[in-house]
Order: sequence, then structure tokens, then C-alpha cells
Amino acid sequence: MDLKEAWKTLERERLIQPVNGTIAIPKHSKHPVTKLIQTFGLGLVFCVFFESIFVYLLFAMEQTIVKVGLGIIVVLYTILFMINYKVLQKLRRLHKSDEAVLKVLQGVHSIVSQTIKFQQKLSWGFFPMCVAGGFVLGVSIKKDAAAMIVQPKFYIALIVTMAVFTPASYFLTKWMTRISYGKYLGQIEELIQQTKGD
Amino acid sequence: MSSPDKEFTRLIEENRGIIFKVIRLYVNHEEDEKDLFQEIIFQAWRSYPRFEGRSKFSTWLYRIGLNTVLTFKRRPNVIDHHEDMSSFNIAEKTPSGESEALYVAIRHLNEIDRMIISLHLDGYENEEIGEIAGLTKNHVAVKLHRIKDVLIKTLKGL
Repeated sequence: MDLKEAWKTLERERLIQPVNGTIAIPKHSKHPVTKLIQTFGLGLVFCVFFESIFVYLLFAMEQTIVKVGLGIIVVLYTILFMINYKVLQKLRRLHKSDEAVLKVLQGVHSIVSQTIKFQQKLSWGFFPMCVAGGFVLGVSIKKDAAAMIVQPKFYIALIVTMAVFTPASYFLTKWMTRISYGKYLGQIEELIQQTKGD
Repeated sequence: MSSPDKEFTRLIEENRGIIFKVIRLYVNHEEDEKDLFQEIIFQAWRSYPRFEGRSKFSTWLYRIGLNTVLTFKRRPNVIDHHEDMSSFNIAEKTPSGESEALYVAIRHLNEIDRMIISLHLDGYENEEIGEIAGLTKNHVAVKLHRIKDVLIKTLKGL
């Protein structure tokens, strides 16, 4: 069989038959990496939104201890914003669909792995701290916070809250990333191996 | 529609066969086909400002199409594992029978080999295939040799 002749027939009879869809410039993407980048962008918007609220509360609250707590949260959110922004810039630089296939596959693999690592780091550090900050803030709204923090039960409650939320947020993040990207990451790894093979 | 939009749409219109071909080689779900068609146009539009015309638009679009299809989350490709070669009228030595046999044989290759052989059969030189895939010319030649062996063996076995 002449492969090139058979290919021409195949092209004519099957491959270039139109598929459904209109030639218009779409506004949205369903590509996993584009979605990841959009999620990071949305994360930045939320960061700014919550930070604005905390800055407002910092000036509105009168109790010193609450101001200190809010100050810590504001600093944490600023760090979170900066890290998020840096990762987003990196992902944008890496995600180029017009590069060589191997480079794109390696780029996508790197984006997904970095995102997973970033989210797991967040789940260990930032989430529990924010939960603790929120806990202190919640306690201080109705009662005198300065009087509260000298009581042992306050510390017990705080430790219990952090002890529950730290592993919970870690395992929840791990489970969610495995469900969302675990299989996908495996497929990309396989494609990289197929490309490099021989 | 602004001028770059019009120019882009015209180029896509002229080269849409490439998008159809890439999709047909990898996908067999109607929903995936529709999604991927839009996605390839989206990714091409996003990258279009970087297109400097150093390669032909068709080659550039081929590369974007392949990258998008390979990195998109698709439904499992049932056809890869269960497509029965005997279900095609491939014993018949007609151009259609032979092309169907080739199609099934190509669909049984792994996804990267499928890309390399389709580019080769489309007339791309090993160097160009290497640029698209991110491999050296020699690596492409080795891969092509092996892929052709596999294809011929598969086709002979029919």
C-alpha cells in the first residue's frame, strides 16, 4: 500500500470533513491551564477585596489586641497577594501554545505541579493562620478581647481550632488537587515520555 | 470587527482543514470536537500577536492545534482501544478501503507517534517535524522508521 496515496484519500474522505463549530473568536476557554491562570487571577481579586475589608476594620476597631490581630492578617494577605501574583506571572510566561510540543508539555507539567505545590504550602501555612486570625476576631466582637486572651480556655480553643484546620485544609487541598489534576498530570507525563522515547 | 480580527478570521477560514484534521485524529466525541474546535481558535487568537510569519500560518496553526489537543482534558478515547479493524471494509483493495485501514492503524499508535506520522504524510520534512515536536532531525528519523515498521506490520496483518 502506498501510504501517502492512502493518506490523501483519508484526508479527503474523513479527516478534513467539517466538525461542529463556528469560526468566531471565543471569549472563554475550557483549557485546564487557562482555567488555572484565571483561578489565580480571581484569587488576586479576592485577596484585594478581603484585604480592603481588614484594613477598614483595622482603623474602625478600638481594642489594641484586635488591631494587632488584624495587622497580622493584613500582613499575611499582602504576602499571599505577592506570592500569588508572582506565581501568576510565571504561569503566564510558561503558557504558550505556539511553542514546540515537547516544550509546551513540559511547561504545562511545570505549571500544574507548581500550582499543586503552591496550594499545599498554602494549606499548611496560610489557611490555619487566617483561621486563627478569624477566630480571634470573632471572639473579640462581642467580648473584651484583652480580658479573653488571659484565660486558658481561649488558648485551648485556639489550639484546637488550628489543630483541626491545619491537617483538614492540607488533606482537603491534596484530595481536591488529586481529583482535579492528578490524572491530567499523569497523562502529560506519559506524553512527555512518548515524545522523548526511542 | 477590527482589522486584526478580520485578518485572523480569514486565515483561520482558509486553514480550517488543519483544525478539522487534528481533531479527527485525536477525538471521537461530538462534544469534545466542538469544544476543541473553539479552543484551538481561542489559543490561536491568544498567540496570534506573537506570530511573526517566520513559518507558514498553516504550520503555526498545526502546532497550536496539536498542542491544544494534546494538553486538553478529553473524555477517554474509546476508539483507541476498542476500534475493531475488521469492522472496516479494509480487505477490499480500493482507495477507500486502504485509507480506512490506514486510519485505524494510525489511531492505534500512541498520541505522539500519531502526530509525527501525520506530519510526515502531510509532506513535512524531518527538520520541520522536529521543530514542531521539539526534537532533533535525527530523533524524528529514528521515530519515523519505527512508526512506519509498526504501521506496515499492522496493515500486513489485516
